[in-house]
Amino acid sequence: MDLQSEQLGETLVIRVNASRVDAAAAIQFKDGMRELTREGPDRCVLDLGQVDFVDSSGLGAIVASMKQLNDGQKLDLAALKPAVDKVFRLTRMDTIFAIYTDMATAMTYDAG
Amino acid sequence: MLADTALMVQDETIKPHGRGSAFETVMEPDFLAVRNTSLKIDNHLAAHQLPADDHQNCSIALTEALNNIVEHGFANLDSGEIRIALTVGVTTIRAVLTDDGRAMPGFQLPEGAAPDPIDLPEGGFGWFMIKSLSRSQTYERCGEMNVLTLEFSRGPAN
Repeated sequence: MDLQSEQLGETLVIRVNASRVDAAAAIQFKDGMRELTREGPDRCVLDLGQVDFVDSSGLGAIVASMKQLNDGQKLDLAALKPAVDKVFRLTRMDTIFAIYTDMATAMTYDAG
Repeated sequence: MLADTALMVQDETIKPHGRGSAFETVMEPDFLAVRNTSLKIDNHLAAHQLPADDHQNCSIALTEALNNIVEHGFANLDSGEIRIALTVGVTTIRAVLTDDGRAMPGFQLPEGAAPDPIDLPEGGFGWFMIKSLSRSQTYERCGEMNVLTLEFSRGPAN
């Protein structure tokens, strides 16, 4: 699972460089996220702009990534494609994350 | 020679060719195979230029169904296979998933209740998603086989 991180101001941006976060990738994803969010700023944004498909295991791994954050850290999501957005809305897991249409919008949070 | 002809004829009856509407494949019961099969199903659905919602519903539900078969039907089993037959009709998309894994508990489909987001669930969404996204679901235990049929509505083209 290729996760690329970059600190922009006070935000840690983590880009998923894969087309799927699925059952075959879930454990690797969760482990990769733990490594990247172990230290660093309180706000993390997961850029899902390359991800075409998230299944329920991938969804579970994203939730697990949020639960394993340090105290005070938060995980926001950005750039969900239609099939990914559908999974979040259907399961109502869109209610527990701040979700931004694209990365530019996600980053205005920082400036504001 | 005769045997060859018989085989060919049999093939014709199983899989009518030239219409591009039937898709059949066999896979090993593991998650990487689910990914590969899911991508193949996606390609097949894309060829039919379905409305985006219909395509997504079918693609998501079938992936969840395959994940569930691997995770529960084949847990601690090291052999067996899953067969998928998908037909895209004018009004209905039908998928028949057959496997030789363990039977569903009680020989019936799980209830598929939605986990509450407030509990920050990391799983348990599979059958809720399948039931929400498909029009009908039927399950049969036939001898040593599980047969799961999922049907999806196909709306008018975009």
